[in-house]
Amino acid sequence: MPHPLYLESINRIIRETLILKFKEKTPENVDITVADFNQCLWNIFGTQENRTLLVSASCRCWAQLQKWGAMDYLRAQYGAMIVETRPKYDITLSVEPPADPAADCTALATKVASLLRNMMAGAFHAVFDAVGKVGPVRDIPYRPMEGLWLKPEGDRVIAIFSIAFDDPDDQVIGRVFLQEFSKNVSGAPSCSISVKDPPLELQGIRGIKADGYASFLLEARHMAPRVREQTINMLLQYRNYVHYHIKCSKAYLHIRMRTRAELLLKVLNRAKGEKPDAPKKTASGRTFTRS
Amino acid sequence: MAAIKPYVTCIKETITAAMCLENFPSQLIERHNKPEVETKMSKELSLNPIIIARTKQEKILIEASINSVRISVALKKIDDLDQILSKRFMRFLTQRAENFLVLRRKPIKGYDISFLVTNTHTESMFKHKLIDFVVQFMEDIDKEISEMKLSVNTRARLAAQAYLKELVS
Repeated sequence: MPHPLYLESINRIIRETLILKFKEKTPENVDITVADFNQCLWNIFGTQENRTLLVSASCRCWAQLQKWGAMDYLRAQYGAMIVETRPKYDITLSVEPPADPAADCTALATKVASLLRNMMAGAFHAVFDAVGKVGPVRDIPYRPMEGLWLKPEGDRVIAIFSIAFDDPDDQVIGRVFLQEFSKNVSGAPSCSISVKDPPLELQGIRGIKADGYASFLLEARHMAPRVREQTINMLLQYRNYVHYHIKCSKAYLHIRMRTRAELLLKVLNRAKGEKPDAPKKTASGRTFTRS
Repeated sequence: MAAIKPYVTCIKETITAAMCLENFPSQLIERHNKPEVETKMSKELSLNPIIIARTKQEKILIEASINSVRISVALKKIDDLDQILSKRFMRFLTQRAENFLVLRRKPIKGYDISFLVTNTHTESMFKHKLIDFVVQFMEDIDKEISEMKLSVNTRARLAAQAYLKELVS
């Protein structure tokens, strides 16, 4: 019945647009603004003069991400591509298309389309690298009502998500979904769910209000270089994954209700019986109409 | 609920007895012909209401009168999820009350869904089939809600397992 959908961390629209632009023979004017998860924005800007494209991204929590050292990772990934930020955005990359339009450029396009993901991942990398050192709880308010905290604890890191549901019905279904995450899978980070109050790890932080909290205990093996990117990818998409599956559930319930209503109508129609204006006949064949 | 035959049989017998309806225009207002169980204008035209209860929560209220019968059902709700599922499902069905003819758009206070059967319905439809419909309606709703609950739980479990598996290292 369900197909686990791993929401991609890269932005497909950006990637496909870039690949299209790379294949162009002559450059054209372009100024595209694209929305992404968590109220983030992208912008691709290019002029006819040269083939260089300026790709910018902005997210809600850039100030905090910078504070927690995200730029280190970004510099490592993009190096010289980082240029002066365009107004209203947080970071801008200058992208040179490959000289040959026919060359395979998916790798470059994918790398650029991961910009937003890398912005967030930068903070994760900084925490993972600082494991063992005592440090503050990194708060990353990536959504208006929901937050993410990274708390270093000895040689481990705890990633805490606060999840809010707008609809009261969603809160009930959401609770069912969140409780399932607290069932352990051996090898995976152990996850503890709290439904009413913030978990102990967030003690002391004020102003938190949400419908559920998920705390993932990341151990050294989850932060190992081989699996680090995968861990970060999955964690970044956690909240959207939960909401996506809740919506799928509601859609499925709706389909069931509709099917059931149709079935019941069929039963009712059986009660309606024959049409009242069918002509009635006597035994000898004479017909008469009911007045 | 289908396993509890006595409950279903009792309901069926009671509704069959109550559904003896005839056309009866209003005694008090000229040229009005309204279901007596809804307007309750004259005391002698209504029968005593009957409640058939399986548990404290699950029960059926049958109010009969000379030209109409009102059947209200209270469903079994064990937890929050049951509550919202039954609320959604009932809202879905009552929005289509026109198609269902005998369904009331608003349930009676204290119950989850209500039927209103009038003499026009019994005149144009087979009475025993109508009663079968009401009984099957109740059974189907129970079955449906428990299946919906199961599907939500299954989906939650599978989604969580699939997610955590990706984090295994």
